Amino acid sequence: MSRVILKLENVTKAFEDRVAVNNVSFEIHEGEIFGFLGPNGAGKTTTMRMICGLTKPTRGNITICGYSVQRDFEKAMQLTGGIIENPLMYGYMSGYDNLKYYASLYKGIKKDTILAYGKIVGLEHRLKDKVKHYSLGMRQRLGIAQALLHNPKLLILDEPFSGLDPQGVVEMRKFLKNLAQKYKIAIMVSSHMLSEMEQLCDTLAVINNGQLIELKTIRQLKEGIAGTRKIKFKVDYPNFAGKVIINEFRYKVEVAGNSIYVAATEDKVPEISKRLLDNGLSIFGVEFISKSLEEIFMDLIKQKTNGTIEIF
Amino acid sequence: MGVFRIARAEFIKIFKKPSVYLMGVILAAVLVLSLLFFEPIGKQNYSVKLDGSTVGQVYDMFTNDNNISSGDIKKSKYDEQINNNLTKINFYKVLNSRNEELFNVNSDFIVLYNDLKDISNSGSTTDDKINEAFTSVKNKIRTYGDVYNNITTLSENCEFYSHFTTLTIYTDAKNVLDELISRSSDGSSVVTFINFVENNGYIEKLNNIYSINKNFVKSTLNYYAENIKTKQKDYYNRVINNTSSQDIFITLKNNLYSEINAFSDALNKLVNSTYSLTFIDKTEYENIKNVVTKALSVIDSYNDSNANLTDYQKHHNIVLELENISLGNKINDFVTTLINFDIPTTTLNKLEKTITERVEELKAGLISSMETLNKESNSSSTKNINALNDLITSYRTLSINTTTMVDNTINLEAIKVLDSNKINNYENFKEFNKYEVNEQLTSANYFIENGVYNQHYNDVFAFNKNSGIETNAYDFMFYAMKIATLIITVFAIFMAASLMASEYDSGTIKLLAMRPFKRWKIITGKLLATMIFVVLFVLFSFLISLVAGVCLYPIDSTPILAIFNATTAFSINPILLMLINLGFIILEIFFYTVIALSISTMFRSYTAAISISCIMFILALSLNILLGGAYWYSFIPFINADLFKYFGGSFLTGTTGGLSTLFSPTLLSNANFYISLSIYGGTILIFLAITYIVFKVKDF
Repeated sequence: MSRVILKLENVTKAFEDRVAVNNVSFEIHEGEIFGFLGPNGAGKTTTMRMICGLTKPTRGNITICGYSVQRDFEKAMQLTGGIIENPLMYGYMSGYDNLKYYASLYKGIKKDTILAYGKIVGLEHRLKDKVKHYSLGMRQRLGIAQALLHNPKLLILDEPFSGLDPQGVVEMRKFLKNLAQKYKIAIMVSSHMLSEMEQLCDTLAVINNGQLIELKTIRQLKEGIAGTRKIKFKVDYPNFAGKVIINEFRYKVEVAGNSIYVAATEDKVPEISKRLLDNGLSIFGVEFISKSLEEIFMDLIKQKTNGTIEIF
Repeated sequence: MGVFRIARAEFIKIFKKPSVYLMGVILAAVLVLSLLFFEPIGKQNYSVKLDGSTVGQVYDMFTNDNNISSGDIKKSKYDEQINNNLTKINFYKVLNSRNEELFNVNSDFIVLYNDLKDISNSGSTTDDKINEAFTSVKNKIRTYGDVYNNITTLSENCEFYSHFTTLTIYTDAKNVLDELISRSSDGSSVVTFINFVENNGYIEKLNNIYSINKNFVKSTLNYYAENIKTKQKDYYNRVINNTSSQDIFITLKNNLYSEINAFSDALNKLVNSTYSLTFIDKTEYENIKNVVTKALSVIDSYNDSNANLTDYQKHHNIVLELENISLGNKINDFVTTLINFDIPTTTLNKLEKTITERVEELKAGLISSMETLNKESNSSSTKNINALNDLITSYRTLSINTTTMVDNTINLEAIKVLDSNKINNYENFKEFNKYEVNEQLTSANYFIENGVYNQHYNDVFAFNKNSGIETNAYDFMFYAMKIATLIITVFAIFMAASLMASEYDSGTIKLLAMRPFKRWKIITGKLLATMIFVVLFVLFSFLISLVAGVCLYPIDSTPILAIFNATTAFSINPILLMLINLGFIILEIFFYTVIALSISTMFRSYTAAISISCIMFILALSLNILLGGAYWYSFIPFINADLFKYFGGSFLTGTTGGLSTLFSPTLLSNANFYISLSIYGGTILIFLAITYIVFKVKDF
């Protein structure tokens, strides 16, 4: 098993009127890209702020490479980089000066390093421009560059895709994957963009109302999706067809319009088709239906909470 | 290390701001413009310049009283001034010793008299012993009389005292002593003498003698009060009962009138006395003066021809009104508000010794130097004439310093009995500033002790003033730096606020707070960066003012007599003092920087930080003008931000006004460097503590 970079143990953050984060525990290993999903106000940003030491947990421990954020703040932060809530940079300074400012807070970051990271985030031609003339996406990339300057083991990115164009999103994804694979950096990403997360992350965590609902690797998720597959048969007498299948196979069947949905795997198609044809039914079409990631998460949130859910 | 890394990063950031360069330009422009408004007030010129063509002529002008061409600049006149101080010291000494002697002789007499009584009553002793004891009593009572009669020095030097000795309270006491003296020596027996003393209550009368004399001011005024009461009562009774003739009414009325006038004269003598005799509350004094005027005008109303009243009705009205005014009781009340002071004889002896030894020695030294020059009395060399004039100036300042030394020492001793914040409530102490008086005293003592003279020293720098006779480069530098301080303070407030609050506004505080630095290091780093900025700007303006000053004015390296905290005088090179000034300027700006940083941390707002800090700063400046005199004023924290004022020159501020007042804060009577420093340090510590705590617990 690879090294644990970030570890949260029973972390709780209570404000006067509500509990923002409730008893959350998870680990992130080196080279792992960890997606953090949840509706607005679910506690994503609060969790990330606690990891970065911007606010203190009410209970629980956060350690980065074994250093407690609360007790060994300076050592823990030496290994951490990130951007929280997409800050504006110092607009009156150039991109390069912004990076230089952050670099000067650490020991021995050379000009070459600064330029290299400028290039990595694709700003090499704009570094001399004042940041106030940057687009949102450029600022986002500059933010990531500053987070990487000191060679952190853990990268915390709050909504890194917001403000990026589709092309930018693809580049960002490639860039982050590369970082994780090549430099073994553990990356924690929060986002609304589920599809991006699916493609980017190794692990996904879902948080709602401060509670961690689901923590799964992408493989586990995909298996889960496989388990939810259905076969749609378009037939002339759907009600009769349904009865036939329930009697013969004991599968779950739903009837809608002139179609039936059978909860069965692909290999059962010839068998079911034969039985339907044997019973004098005509088949006009066969389709495989599976739930999307979105639907699975919606279901998850519906199951675990009784309240309303915002669409994310 | 982290602190310095942050400080360096923040400092570099400061100089990326375009506004910094604008600030530099503004500062330079204002400093250059300030030249236009630089019109320094001259220094007090001590120099004497007797206009003679030879040394001998000048020498004669100074020493020969018949040579009138030199006006007031006369050796004899300065000698007289110095001697007046001795007279003054002597007056208080005699007053002290008279009281002491009266007390001693009174107690001694009573002891001896009681011994005599015991011996005489015991009956078993020999006549020799009785006679021996009686002789002691006789001798003591004669000594008593001698002490009592010995008032020449006091009544010669103090009009009020001499007036007191004409009053019956004084002469009655004298008669008591005379009677006792004559009874004790008229050959009558011991028993007769004792009976005489016992039957007439002489022991009590003798005790009275001491207290009447010790409290001669109060006794005098109360004496008038009693007389007024008696005369008023007599007049009242006669009128109310209507038993007397009109003539008698008028006589009674006139007697009362002149008695009240006599009181009024005595009061005037007291207030205008050359020597302070008691503390008179100025409000009480005004009140009693008004009551006297009112009483007199009531009596005067008798002569008002327009009144449609009979003579009797007039008298009747007057006595009723006077009864209402009750002047006698009012005087008694006034007397209780008088406060006696005490000038210890040891202090007076020390002053006397300084004058008779040190001052005389200096005088002799100056005279012998003058005589040496006068050996070539026909010399018309300017150098020699100037040297002689300088010696004459020294002679003159020596006499001035001596007077300052004596007056200030006596006044400072006297006010020890007063509540320090009420000093200005007293007649003759209306403008009394303890700090200034102390400062002057320290300076006079320094000159006398070291045998040096005022004209060889320059004054401490003050805003828009000359430290020497001619305007010099340092004067302009000090002036320009004061203005620069004002501007840099505002810049520092902006800078501190923007370093902190704009991080909140742009959200970059999050990126900063997640760096590997404890929160206190971030605050300290930012404070340090601002202070480096401030120091650079102070040095920058110093450089500008230096260049401008040196180009336009000469450099005067005459030493300056600085008086630290009104108690320590020291001679200092002007360059050194200017550097000290720079240090204190930086401290002053530091004060506002901390406040601005603190407020911007607390309120997370750039605008709030700037407006609150600027308001405080403007308030501090305007309070200089508005509330300069209030006692509590010195406890307002930001009044104590400028500590350079504790290096002397407070008495030079007397002639300032308007803009100058803005830049040269008055020092109050109760001012003290260490108190100011504590308030300064305490305020900064409180603000810093709040800032560190708030920033530490804050969520971003």
